Amino acid sequence: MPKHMQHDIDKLKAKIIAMGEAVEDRVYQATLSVINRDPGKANAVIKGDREIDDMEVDIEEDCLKILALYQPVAIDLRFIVAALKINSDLERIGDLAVNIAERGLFLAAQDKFEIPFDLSAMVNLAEKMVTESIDSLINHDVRLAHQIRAADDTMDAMNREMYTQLKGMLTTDTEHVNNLLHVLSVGRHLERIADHATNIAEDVIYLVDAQIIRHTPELYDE
Amino acid sequence: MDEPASALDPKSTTRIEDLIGELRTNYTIVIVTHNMQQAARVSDYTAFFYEGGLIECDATPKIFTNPQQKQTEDYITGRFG
Repeated sequence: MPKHMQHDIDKLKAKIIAMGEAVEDRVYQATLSVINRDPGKANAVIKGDREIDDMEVDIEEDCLKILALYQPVAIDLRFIVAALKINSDLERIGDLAVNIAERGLFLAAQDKFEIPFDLSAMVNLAEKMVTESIDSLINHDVRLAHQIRAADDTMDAMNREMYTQLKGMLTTDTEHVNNLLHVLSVGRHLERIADHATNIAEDVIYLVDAQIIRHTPELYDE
Repeated sequence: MDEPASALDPKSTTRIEDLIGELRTNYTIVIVTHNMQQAARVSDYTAFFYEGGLIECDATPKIFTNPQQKQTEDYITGRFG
């Protein structure tokens, strides 16, 4: 590989990892803002989204530059394609962290309302999936990527359980309908974060094995 | 054709490649090139030879996205040769 191209690809890798770590932190801070009723943390996540957006644009420009200048093939081409898609997924995770922080801001202002659902399991799983998806990218770890795909089923089940419980509460606790809908949204956003982490894992599998496994649930146990 | 566009400017190279595109409907064409992008552009199948031996032959999209031989991958990505 030409040295210039290797240098640019290494630089791109470092930027994606930095963005992944920044997004991980946003998700962590956003969920803390909900659980600890902390409007300060929520506001910090909301205001910090611009930084993630700038990172996304910067990484996309780097990918386009490498495609235009070097016309990469094989593993290098798959890396650039995966990087473009992962970049987009990370940016969306950042947006979802903002959505969660906005719910946190609203819920923190509701004095007499306690969240009637233990969000910690969903929060922990979503954070773990994001962290591990970045780890699988860094280490080209296909096995871990497959585990992330499987974990998405667990997240979907948790989301359904939450929906069922809150649906029951919505009919009995009419005073807090609006608050309960915000809690429901938090669950939905966590579930979407897990979906994006799964997308990243699938892109890692494509990068390493050149195998497109989206839409093939029968391959979950590999 | 043995390196038919070697040392030509981009416009002349395009004319040669267009001609190959016209001829391919009636003739089977074998082209030898060291230009990876040209091989990818003009061929249906690509064979990689190294020091007189055939290393790999496959559909061109497959060779340039997911070659099966490490030697092929290393060559087309410029890691050796």
